[in-house]
Amino acid sequence: MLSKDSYPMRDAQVTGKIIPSEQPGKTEAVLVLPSQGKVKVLNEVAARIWALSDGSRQVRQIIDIICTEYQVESGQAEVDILEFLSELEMKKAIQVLDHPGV
Amino acid sequence: MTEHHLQVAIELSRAGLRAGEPMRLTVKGKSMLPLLRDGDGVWVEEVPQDSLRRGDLVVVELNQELIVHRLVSIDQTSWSTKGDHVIHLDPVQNPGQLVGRVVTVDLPDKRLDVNREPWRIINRWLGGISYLEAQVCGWFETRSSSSKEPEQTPWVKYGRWALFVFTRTPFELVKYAWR
Repeated sequence: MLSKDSYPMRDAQVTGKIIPSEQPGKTEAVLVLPSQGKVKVLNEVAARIWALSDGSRQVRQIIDIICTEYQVESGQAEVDILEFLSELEMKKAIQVLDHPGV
Repeated sequence: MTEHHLQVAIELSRAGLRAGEPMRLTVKGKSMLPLLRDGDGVWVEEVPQDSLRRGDLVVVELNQELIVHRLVSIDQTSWSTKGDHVIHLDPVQNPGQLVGRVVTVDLPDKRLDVNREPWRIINRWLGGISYLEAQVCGWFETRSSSSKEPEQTPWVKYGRWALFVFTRTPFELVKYAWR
């Protein structure tokens, strides 16, 4: 069960690449989910969350980083980030761990 | 999703296959009917090009899309692919466009290993028929377009009908065993 104490970790099979966005100065990420034959495009903030989900950080730490880097209000960020990570978990793009991943 | 996103996704997919990770693709469209339907899943692996044989189901990159079609003709420098449900060959391809070979097909109720017997032999056979279909249809079209008479002669008309029955029947028969 995903919570603020969880350690989200990218699934090893999912590959992704961060690329420059069409909007100047922004980036985005393209993810390929090979087991589902799906491709997902993430905006800059989502791509950053994806990059931070390496199994070494708790969700609460990711929320803090996003709030600092993008100057967003923590309450809304928490809701959005938990929702986004849940979606990634459902698509098997991340694993949700109770302890730091290797 | 833009063309650039798709290109990046194809690059990532190719890299994954090179690293030995199989990739699942979902079939879209009708070009491989009756054997592959819209929504079927196929598992793809990278294979050495010299291990490909006529009739193999392959994934090729064509016009910035990944396409699952059948390899119907192969030689040292070029090869042709074709959908089972279309009469024309795909545009001439070079081996660099090959992404991988389909190894299994996920049907709603079973998984087929298409590179094991009997499917390997059946695929060779279907590949040959499919290639013949494209060649003969091309010949008919050339003849029809070069004819001075606006009406097709009966033998062309019935010839096309006979060709249709000859080439479609095997696919329809195999469909019942396949699905």
